[in-house]
Amino acid sequence: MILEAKNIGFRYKNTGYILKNVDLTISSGEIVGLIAKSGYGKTTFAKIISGYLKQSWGEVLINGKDIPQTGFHPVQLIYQHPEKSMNPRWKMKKSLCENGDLDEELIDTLGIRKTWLWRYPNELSGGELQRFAIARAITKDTKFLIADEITAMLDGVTQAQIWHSLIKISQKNNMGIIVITHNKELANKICTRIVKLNEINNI
Amino acid sequence: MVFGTLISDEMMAANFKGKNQFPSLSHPFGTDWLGRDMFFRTVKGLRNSIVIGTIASLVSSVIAIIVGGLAGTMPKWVDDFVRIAIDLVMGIPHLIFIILISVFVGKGAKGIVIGVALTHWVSLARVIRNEVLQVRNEQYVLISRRFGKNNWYIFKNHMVPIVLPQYIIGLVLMFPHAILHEASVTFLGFGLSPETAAIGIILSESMKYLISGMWHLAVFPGLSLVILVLLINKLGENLTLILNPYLTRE
Amino acid sequence: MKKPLLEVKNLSVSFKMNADKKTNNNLVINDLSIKAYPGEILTIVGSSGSGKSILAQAILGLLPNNAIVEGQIFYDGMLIDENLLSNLRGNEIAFIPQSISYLDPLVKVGKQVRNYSDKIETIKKQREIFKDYDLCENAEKLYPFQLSGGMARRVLISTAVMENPKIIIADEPTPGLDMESAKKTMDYFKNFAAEAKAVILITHDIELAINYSDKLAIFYAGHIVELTNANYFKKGAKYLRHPYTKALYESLPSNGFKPIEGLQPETSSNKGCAFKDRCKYKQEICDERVNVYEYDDEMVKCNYDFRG
Repeated sequence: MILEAKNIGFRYKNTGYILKNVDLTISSGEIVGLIAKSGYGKTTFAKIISGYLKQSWGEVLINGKDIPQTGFHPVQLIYQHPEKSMNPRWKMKKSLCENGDLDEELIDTLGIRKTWLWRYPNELSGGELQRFAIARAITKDTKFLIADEITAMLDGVTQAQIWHSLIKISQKNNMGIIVITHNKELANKICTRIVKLNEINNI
Repeated sequence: MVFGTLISDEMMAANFKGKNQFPSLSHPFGTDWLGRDMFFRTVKGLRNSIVIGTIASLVSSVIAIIVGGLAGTMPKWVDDFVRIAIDLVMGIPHLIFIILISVFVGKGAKGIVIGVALTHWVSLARVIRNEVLQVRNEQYVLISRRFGKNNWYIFKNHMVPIVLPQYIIGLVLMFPHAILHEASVTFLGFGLSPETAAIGIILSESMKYLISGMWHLAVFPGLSLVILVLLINKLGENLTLILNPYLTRE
Repeated sequence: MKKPLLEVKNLSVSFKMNADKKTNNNLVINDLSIKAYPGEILTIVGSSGSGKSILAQAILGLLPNNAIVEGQIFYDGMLIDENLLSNLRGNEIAFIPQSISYLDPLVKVGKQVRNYSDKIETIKKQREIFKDYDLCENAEKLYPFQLSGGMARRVLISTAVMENPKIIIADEPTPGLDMESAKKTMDYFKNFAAEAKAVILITHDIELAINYSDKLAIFYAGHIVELTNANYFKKGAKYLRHPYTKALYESLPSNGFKPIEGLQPETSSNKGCAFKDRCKYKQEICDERVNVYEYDDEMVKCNYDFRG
């Protein structure tokens, strides 16, 4: 499976271009690092290819076809701050199962403890919530995962744990991952290929 | 909460005893010119007011939830339409509107219920609309959409749990208004017919007898109405306190 | 021997929680002692959500009402009580919080940095400080939400230095900032230390800590498990004493990216070592108690000293 961002351009009504003529292709099984400084459009780009934002120009295609805007989006975005990604009124089990039944193996791989399922989001730490956010977004229909600085707020051990799990999952599910980060060492360690946003962005 | 039980006691008493005719013997509230026991009349009158208030409030709140919900979840023009409607209805003095509707629809309970229902949905609708709009833009709702969830799912699962506490409190607080309006409109002669025991009727009839010194005909019923309204208000406040942790979003 | 400017002795913090109709106390900080010296950057490193922010709140007296606090805090040798603390806070002891949500969103930042004062000397001072931190003149007229990430950081720092504090406590000083801005922020802290202030940083970012601190205190499950010199981190894992410190070191992408199993315990316990369930060197004795070895400027809370 191939995800293509073709000639992507984006601007708000009164601003200059944030993205212009950006091309990026990723196949399943790849882990591509996208390095950029804060505020340079990497989150905008991430939102466009995961369906949260509509591009001003260009196309986002999977295997040459447009991605339907209804139904489960095959490109899932994981945010940097998981606290806002969960409905504060729902117990974790409900959030986790929003996309279908519990996948025991997935939960184990991501290090989620059973006791956490009955807690509310405000009772869990950032690292714990992030594991839920990832587990929830991964289903048989998830072809690509966009990880937007997902471990920037987490300590070294948690970061290593989560990425080791994600790499395992990406291999097992043949799921491509785009890793957005400003941490070059991290990118070098986990990515099969690294792209610098300022080199592919022609603003 | 103690006050809450008192209210149910009163209502129970009304349902239980109100069916009697009104004999004239030893009477806590005195008797009126027909010898009817004022206490029983008051209690029955309050019961009628409560029933009407309840029906009207419930209908009103359903209108509010539909309106607020639609405004928050449907495309922009629905929201614009709703906002204009809210501004319009808010500007109309309630009493006059209710009287007009009463006259239009025919006097009696039906008229009052419709009148009150059509005027009181406004502030609750606004609150619900605001809550719904806020939730609509939350990260977890945007994520839900990317999971393929439709508007109805989002309304039912994400918005309702957050909107529900506001709705309940709004509903409870609507009661006193409804009851008071019913009483006022009846007092003015546009509501329930004179034979039914309604606080408004009791009060309006007692006006004639005040001059002759029969103060008990007005004071006790009036006081009871006031106390009932205050109790419901208190209930609403207590509810707000209890539900408060759920009102904050963190 | 230098005297510590701030000393925390046997601090314990727990929270009264009414979970499930029982009153459970959640012990977040467990018998913690630490010293901060002038001219030094002490960084407290721990995982996110581990309670290290609570430590900052405890020192500043900003804990919520359901907090139960034991232990003592000394400023320049004087025991701090409520009164003294409210005098020191904002003056001798300054706090740089994690985000601008600490600021009033409805008031322009210049005014907030000046602490709402309109005195001429105060305004002058605020403008000078803004210049020191590369904030343009117009910045003082902006509202908090109009500030970019980097600007917000510098405004928070400006607020802290207005009263020329002797101790600066910063909670997560570089959240999500890119390399350049983070570096600039840390340089400001280095300057503070050069001015003989005591700087206490609290962060989860160990790479940052290694490169900019003098001393590192490793925080785990409510305890400081190791206090060491930052240089040892640059030399390698074998100079680190505590197994958790070693694990943190080896988890970094540049050092092997090796995770260890398991997760932090939920509540700090008093029986034995907090790290025992994840420690590959665990012995039976670790279930019962844990020793504290203290050296000059270093400390480790472990039944063994694994350096070397």
